[in-house]
Amino acid sequence: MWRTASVTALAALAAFVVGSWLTLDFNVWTAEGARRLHVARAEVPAPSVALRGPEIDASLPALVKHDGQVTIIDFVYTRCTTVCLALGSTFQQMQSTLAALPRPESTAAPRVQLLSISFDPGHDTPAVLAGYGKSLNADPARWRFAAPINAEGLANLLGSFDVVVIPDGMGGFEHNAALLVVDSRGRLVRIFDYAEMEAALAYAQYLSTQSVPTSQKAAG
Amino acid sequence: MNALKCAFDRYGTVFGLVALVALVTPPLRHALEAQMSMHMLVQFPALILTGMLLAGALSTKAREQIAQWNAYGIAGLTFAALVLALAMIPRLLDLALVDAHVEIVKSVALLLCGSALHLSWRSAGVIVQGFFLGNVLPMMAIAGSLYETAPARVCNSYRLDEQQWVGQCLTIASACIAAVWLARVFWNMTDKQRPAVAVAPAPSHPPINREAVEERRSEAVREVATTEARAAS
Repeated sequence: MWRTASVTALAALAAFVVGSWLTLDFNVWTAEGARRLHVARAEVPAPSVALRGPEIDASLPALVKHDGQVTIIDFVYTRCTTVCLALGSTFQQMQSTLAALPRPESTAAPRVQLLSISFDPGHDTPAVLAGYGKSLNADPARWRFAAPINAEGLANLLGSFDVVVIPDGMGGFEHNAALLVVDSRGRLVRIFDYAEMEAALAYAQYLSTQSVPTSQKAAG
Repeated sequence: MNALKCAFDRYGTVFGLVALVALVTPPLRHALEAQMSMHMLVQFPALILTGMLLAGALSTKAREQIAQWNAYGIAGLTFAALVLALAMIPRLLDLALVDAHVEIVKSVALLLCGSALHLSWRSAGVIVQGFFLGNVLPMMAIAGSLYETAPARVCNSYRLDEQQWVGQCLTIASACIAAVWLARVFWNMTDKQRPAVAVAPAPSHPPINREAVEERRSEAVREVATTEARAAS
């Protein structure tokens, strides 16, 4: 009987080890939860990907690297009628919340920027993105739109940020939509659910105030 | 039914090997993993069944040796229950698609789960079987209802509508397995009782020994006669 007991105990121990590895110490059960926890534990540098959009022709890190500026990114495709609409309205609300905030200096650019990146560059040309932004009443000083210029860039970007896009069987896509907070050094530092808009905004604002002294230190 | 059983006894190993090769080679594997329903409801059970078939190829000696480490099937069924518990964590499905190591470990674990079930089920008996199913089936039903009611996708690689369908199927499957098992247990119980009633010797009287009876009667008569004579004197 001790042999059976020892094999049973060994199996339980092995399952515990595998289970704690699979669930990151029993914190998450889904790949999306693991993705968010991984990013929160160690920031992910944005890959160098050329983007194009209305009044944008730059690589991704350069686009978000501004002193004291934090960017909240979401991934969209303009033909979307489901999650992206929810994300669109979340971004609209975030835009109006940010606009209502008192600015430290009237001349300074907004500290928290919004950027919607399309993963459907074949359809979402700069012109299409401009029209999309207009329909959402996007303020170009605060909320910009862009898409990778080629397929490798797109794959690189989606891979780095762990964005999984799958066909939804009705001609559209399903994707793990979320609010990605990227700091002024071009690193993805936190991922929020799009239901956690307030938390994402508060975190981004906090980061933007934090990153001023460090950049000044770096400059000085 | 018997012919089918014979065929399985004779060719089970061959079936198992063919199934194993088919399941791990890319065309079928990718096809099975393209949808959540195929991944969880077809590939997982197929791997478990293959493991069962392959365990059937073990020699009697090997079985006896394994049985020494698996009294009442407790070790095997515990192992199987743990594998099934891990297999229901949604992150496993996503990881298996992108990480070859995870895919290999997943496949081997499910094959071994099937083998463990095959080697343990008979020796487990109704009580250990019931304990095993009492753990695994509610877990399956709960996982199923979570899959079905989750507002968001639990797997980034699979669609929400499919996930809900898989959840329904898991819940229904757990109920069906419980019903089949209970029906079999009751069937076996009544089956055992019936021959027990027929075979037991009916309570019968010992054959009557006429001489002994006659002797006892004459003895009694004599006794009565002597007491009457004493009373008269």
